Amino acid sequence: MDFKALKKTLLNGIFNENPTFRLVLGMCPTLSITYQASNGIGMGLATTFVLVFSNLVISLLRNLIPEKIRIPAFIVIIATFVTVVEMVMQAFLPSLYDTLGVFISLIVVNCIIFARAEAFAFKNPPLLSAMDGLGMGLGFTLAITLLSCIRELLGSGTIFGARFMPEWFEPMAIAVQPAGGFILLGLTLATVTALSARSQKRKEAAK
Amino acid sequence: MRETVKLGVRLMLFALAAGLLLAAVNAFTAAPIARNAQLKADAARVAVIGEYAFEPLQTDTSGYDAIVSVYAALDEGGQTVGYVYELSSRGYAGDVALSVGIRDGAVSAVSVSGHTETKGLGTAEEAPFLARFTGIARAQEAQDVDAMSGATVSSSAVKGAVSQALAHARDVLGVGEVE
Amino acid sequence: MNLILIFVGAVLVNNFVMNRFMGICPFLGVSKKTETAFGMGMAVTFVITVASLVTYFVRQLLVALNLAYLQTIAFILVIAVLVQVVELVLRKLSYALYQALGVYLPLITTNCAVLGATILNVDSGYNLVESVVNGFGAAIGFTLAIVLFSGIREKMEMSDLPAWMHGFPGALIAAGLMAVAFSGFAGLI
Repeated sequence: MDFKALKKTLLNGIFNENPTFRLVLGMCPTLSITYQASNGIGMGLATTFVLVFSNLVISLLRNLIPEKIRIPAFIVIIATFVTVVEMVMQAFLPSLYDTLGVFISLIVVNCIIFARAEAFAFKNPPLLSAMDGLGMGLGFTLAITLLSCIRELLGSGTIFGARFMPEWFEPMAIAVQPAGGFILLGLTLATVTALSARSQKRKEAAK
Repeated sequence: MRETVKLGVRLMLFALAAGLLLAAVNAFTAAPIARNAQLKADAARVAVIGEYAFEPLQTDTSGYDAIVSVYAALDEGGQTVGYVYELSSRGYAGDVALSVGIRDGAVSAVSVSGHTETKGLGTAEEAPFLARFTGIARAQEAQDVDAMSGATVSSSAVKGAVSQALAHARDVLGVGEVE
Repeated sequence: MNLILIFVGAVLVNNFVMNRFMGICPFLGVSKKTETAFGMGMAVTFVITVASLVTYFVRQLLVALNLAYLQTIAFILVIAVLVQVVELVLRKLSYALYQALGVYLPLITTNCAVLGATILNVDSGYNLVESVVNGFGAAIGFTLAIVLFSGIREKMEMSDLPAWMHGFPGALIAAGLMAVAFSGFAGLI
């Protein structure tokens, strides 16, 4: 297996095609649980696990799954791994399981996972597909952790529970409320788009 | 038609494999999950007396209006090592729900599990105030504990509840006072 | 009375889109035109309501068989089948509506409002009637949010926005302001 291709696939998910900032997929968990930083990491890693394994298994079985029943087959495979995450988290990380609540089960309907199964894993060899899942998962983790750090910092003055803001800072409650989630994601998205457009321009100028 | 059956069978096989995998994971995680659920239910009780098994106690609580329920704390041998009282007492702006652990006739700890009070409870003053009850064995002594400053009503609600727990333990359960 | 509370709660106070963040993908994706938004809302309403009914019995069956851990798989399969049925029935009965919804129909399966509503029914310990009312309320709340939002977006098309607000950032900020309005329902029940 070509090592370079693996690396390229991995980085593609984290940067070029970041699922949150570039493909704008999986918005439900991105908005719902990002009111504190620890949630962002937990949700991100749980989703990464499901992405890697569902991509791997779908790729391994891609010659056994007939085109016509691929959607239900994907659903069964993805839901299986989500249930595994659900049970393991409930058993060994009960407090995280309680805070993420129903959104753990809802990883099943995260569009990122479906989109990667259909667009990548069903057409590519296993190792490459697993790497794509890892890249996409880490890209997602990075994005929602960033957003949840911003929201926690503005809304509670802390990051991962540790105080970061000076004494005089009055926490903005709206940042951890739903409305703040929408607005801060919008602003973050705008910033990322503007920054990448600028670096794109510079690259072209350098040429 | 034959193709539909073939597709159906194949899908069934996928589902069967998935079911088997999940059954295996379930066998592995079922016990920890059950234990977590139990721990969560017991959390408030563990906080005031320590890690024991808890058993609800059928006892006469007429005359003790603050007492909601009483639990016996049992050690591994099934011996009663103490009691946990769950109480609800009228405070400044609403009811204060609290747990009181009683061991060897004296208060082991007090914790407030829910309240709608605006003063005192839920602030930095709560922990030192609740700690003052530890070791108290007489209902009257609980009444004499120093109140949280500026939160007399909330403090009285807690003091009244703790002294009811102590009185009930002595008079109804027959727990001896440590002299 | 209890049922009215559940309904009002699901439509306004805990609006699925504005408060629980479920069904954001279609909310952002299918909200450029009021007509398609309304069609999507209707299709989702049907699926959620029927799914709430069916998953109630599925849940009972799984619990009876001691297989509660298969809940997620079973629920999502029920929803996928329902969406398929809606697609077939619509094609036979009303080809015009089928064509109008076209691509959005299969997407209902991965609308997390549907699976979310059925799981919340279980978590809240609702009985059969309560489940259906909650599911129906959630769907009406979804329709309300997406139709209102598409109205806003149609207006935004014509306005002169700064370049960085084009597309998703602008839409998200508009949604945020709408969520502020919805948070006003908080004290209703």
